[in-house]
Amino acid sequence: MFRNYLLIAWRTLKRDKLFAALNIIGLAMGVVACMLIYIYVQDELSFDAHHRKADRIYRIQAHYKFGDTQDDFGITPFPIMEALLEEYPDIESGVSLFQLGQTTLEYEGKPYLAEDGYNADTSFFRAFDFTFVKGDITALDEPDNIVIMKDMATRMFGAEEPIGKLVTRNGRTLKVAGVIDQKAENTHIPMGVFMSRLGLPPQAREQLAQSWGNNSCFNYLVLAPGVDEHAFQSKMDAFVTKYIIPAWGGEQFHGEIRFNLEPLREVHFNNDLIYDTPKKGNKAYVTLFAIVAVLILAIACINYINMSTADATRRAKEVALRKVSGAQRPQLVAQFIGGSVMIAVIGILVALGLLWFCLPAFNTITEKEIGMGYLLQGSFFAVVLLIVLLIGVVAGSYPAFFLSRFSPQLLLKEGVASGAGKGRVRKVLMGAQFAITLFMVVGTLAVFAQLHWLRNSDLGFRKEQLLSITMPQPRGEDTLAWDALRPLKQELMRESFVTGASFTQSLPGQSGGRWVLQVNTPEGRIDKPMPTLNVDADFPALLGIELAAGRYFDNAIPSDAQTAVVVNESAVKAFGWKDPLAEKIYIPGDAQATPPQPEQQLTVIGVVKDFHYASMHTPIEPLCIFQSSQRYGVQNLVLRLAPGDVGTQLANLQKRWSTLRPNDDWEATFLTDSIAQLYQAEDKLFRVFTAFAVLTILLTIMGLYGLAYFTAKQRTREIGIRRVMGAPLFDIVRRMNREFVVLLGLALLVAFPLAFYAIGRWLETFAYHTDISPVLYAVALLLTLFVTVATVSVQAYRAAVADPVKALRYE
Amino acid sequence: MSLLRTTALSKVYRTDTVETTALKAVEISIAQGEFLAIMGPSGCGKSTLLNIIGLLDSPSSGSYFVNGEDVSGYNERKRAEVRKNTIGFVFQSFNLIDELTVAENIELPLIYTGLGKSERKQRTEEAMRRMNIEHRAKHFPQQLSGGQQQRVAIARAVVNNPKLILADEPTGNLDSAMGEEVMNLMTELNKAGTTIIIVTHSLRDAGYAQRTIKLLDGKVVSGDVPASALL
Repeated sequence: MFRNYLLIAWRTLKRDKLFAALNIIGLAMGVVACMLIYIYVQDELSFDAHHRKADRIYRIQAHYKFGDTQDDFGITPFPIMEALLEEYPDIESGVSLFQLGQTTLEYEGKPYLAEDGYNADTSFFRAFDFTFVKGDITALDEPDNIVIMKDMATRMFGAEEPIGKLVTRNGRTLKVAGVIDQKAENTHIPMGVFMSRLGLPPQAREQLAQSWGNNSCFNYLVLAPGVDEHAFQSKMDAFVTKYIIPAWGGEQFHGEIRFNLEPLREVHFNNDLIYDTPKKGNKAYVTLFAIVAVLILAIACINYINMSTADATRRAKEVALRKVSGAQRPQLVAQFIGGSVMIAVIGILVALGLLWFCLPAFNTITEKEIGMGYLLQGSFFAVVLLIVLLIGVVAGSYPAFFLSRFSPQLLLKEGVASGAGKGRVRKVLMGAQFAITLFMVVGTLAVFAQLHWLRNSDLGFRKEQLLSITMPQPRGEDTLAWDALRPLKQELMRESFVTGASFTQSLPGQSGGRWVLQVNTPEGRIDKPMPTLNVDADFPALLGIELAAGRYFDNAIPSDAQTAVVVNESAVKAFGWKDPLAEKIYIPGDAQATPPQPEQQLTVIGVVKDFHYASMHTPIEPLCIFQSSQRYGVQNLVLRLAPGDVGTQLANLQKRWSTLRPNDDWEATFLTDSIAQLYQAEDKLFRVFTAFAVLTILLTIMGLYGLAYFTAKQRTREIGIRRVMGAPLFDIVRRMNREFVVLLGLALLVAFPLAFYAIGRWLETFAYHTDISPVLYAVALLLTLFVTVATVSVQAYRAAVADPVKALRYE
Repeated sequence: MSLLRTTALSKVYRTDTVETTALKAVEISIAQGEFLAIMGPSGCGKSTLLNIIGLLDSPSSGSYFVNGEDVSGYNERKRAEVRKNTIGFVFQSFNLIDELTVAENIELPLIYTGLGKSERKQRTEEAMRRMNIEHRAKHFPQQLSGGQQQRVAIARAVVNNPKLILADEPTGNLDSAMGEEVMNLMTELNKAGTTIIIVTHSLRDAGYAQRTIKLLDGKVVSGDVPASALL
């Protein structure tokens, strides 16, 4: 019996290949989109999930509040870990991780750059699980050991055994004791090289041990089994009071400090912290993509249900004959659902093929490296099976239950079952599909509008033609090496196309320093955390930042480097200064430091107009600008290039650099590119949304085409009669379109308010955003209307030009 | 002994605004092995009567007995059970399933009887032989002539060895030669013991029957007209 069902389902497909193709390919496309998003969401949610102790590991965040300003740091003071381990037996172990940034190792005289370098405890690899291809978790137990990544080992040593190899960093010899496969797991810690903290010089260790007021490293706790996170959290306030507040002046401290436990698996999604690991995920976007996946699958299913339902009305006679022959209703239901599941299975198989094809492009857009091996996981198969059953059963159910309830003689009457196919269900589904399409198109246009605005907004400085060169960073005590950096500016300016240059600690958009300074306000002296920049005297002219009052740093005034500070207009406004050039800013002293640090007083010598020194995700805050010193403020050398052949200019600069610094890598980025990087998440969102909006439109076209095809068939007699009566072609086309256009009109009443709300909520996550014009909505409507009318009109025209005599004879 | 019997059988179709009485207190009795023709003008209720006899529809009032059992109140599930075991249908427009071959169309009623595959195959082949259509077993309906399609429909009707065959205008879509062929087949089936009831406009087709019932405006106006009286 089942074979008979499948036979009919298969032959039905073959009989109408266009319908079958629309049905299966539409379903496959929707399923592929859903699978891709599922893979993406699963990958994002997998960050740090592989650690065996993941549910007991917490990172300590520091929350500071001074007046109306509050900051949350991903890093905390180094000494807290030892004290926490002493104070609380609830803690199984602790890990401190110092992030060093880019690290250069040398082997056989050649430099090799690692994007990230760390000093880590011996407990690091015991708490966190990584895949060692060489060595094991004891790799950091010796002071001069280093663990490197697999691709770095290949670059440095080729096929040779890496374990035991000696490399140098800043003159210090290190032994390779472990190699990790950095691609084996997803983790919030950017993989790089790990050096043992046991190897820190005693003086550095002593200094760190005293720096209670200085957030310097990532600290992680592994709570003992059975310890409740919330119960332990409540102990942290007492700890802060005992150990941290004294470093901030004890009873003189009027701010608020809290240490919060951040579950390890949340770290990847937390974008709200200062001084945190880069390349974070965005849980809101993960949720959004999951919703998009459901919407697209819904559209694919709606298409499938609509076309299956329309097709089922052609099978009324078959159902009648089966009933006449004695078939019971459950048997008929099983037949339809079985056939529907069969088509769903074919659709899934096509989807898997499409998935293999799309995976490389998907990996490019999402910057992931997911392979087809992922598909072999049990959870993925379970999801696929669920989709097949859902689609097959749901799509097959409507015609199954609907048709099987008619008596046989009614089914044998032409038009009875097909007349009910005008049904409300199909219209509601089509309307839902239109609503989803409108929502996706408006959403995509809104994301594009915001992204375009972000990329092209006036940032308060001229970002074009600015090239930033990453400067080598010698060891702290190597005075001569630091001195050798300064002349690089003049040397590179010898190129005729370099019209200006300046050193700067950080580029606009990078996280610069953030200090807690003291300022005088009408309410008295207050502590104020502020972003800071270290730049040289040429910086404002180079970037085109305007002075609002006073002057800028003057190289001819040596005291500027020690006692001068420039602020922005937001600082003047925030502090209520009437005469900013008469004000002072104070760097608090640290009596507990070794040696004790006295308070430093800085004179405000100038006020610059507000400019966006950070991404437009964050508002402009009061900003302090210091003149760069020998070691601070020379991380980047920014050059302004005259308009010209960029390729030649870069080649010339690189050549000059190689002559000046033969042992240092050439790393240069245009500021426009680095600023664009700030909006990578939005750019990714736009690309994903565009891809899925296009897919939604394609699916809608397919669904419309199929439905219009059946509507035309259904109305063959009516069209024939109208044509015989003299109706023009346009009248027929207009009539067929009317039904769909009305549905579209109803759909926008649902879609547009939802889109308005969703877009508004999304834009609120930006400190600065564009206004979304009603034109956007009009464009979305016109686009969807055009697609609808064009698709339906093709079928309508075909029906209209058909021979009316044949149509009437058919009836 | 009567195979079928109706008493005061009526059928009324109701909509929101219109009430149509298709059958009014019809009383007929059909014996096992009879060949009966039902005639009447368009709209007289003959197809309605045939649908009720065939348990494709239920009466609004009155009773209908099959083998002495009152089936007039049966639900669709019970009616389907009786249909598949007792009745075969032949339609004017053949009503073959286009996606199935000749053999598969004929096999269709057997699928719902729970017979095994080999038994079904054997019965199907026998039905095809009886109707002289076995050489077209693998063809699809659209590849056959009208007469061949109706032979397939008849084969489907008899494959289950029903006691009763109901034929609604079985020659309506055929030319006279094919129509004669079909009626001869019906006669042979009847001689073999199958009770046959046909609804027809054709005096010629009615002439094959042993008895003719005439309906007018839903009533039996003449129920015992021998075939010879019609010609």
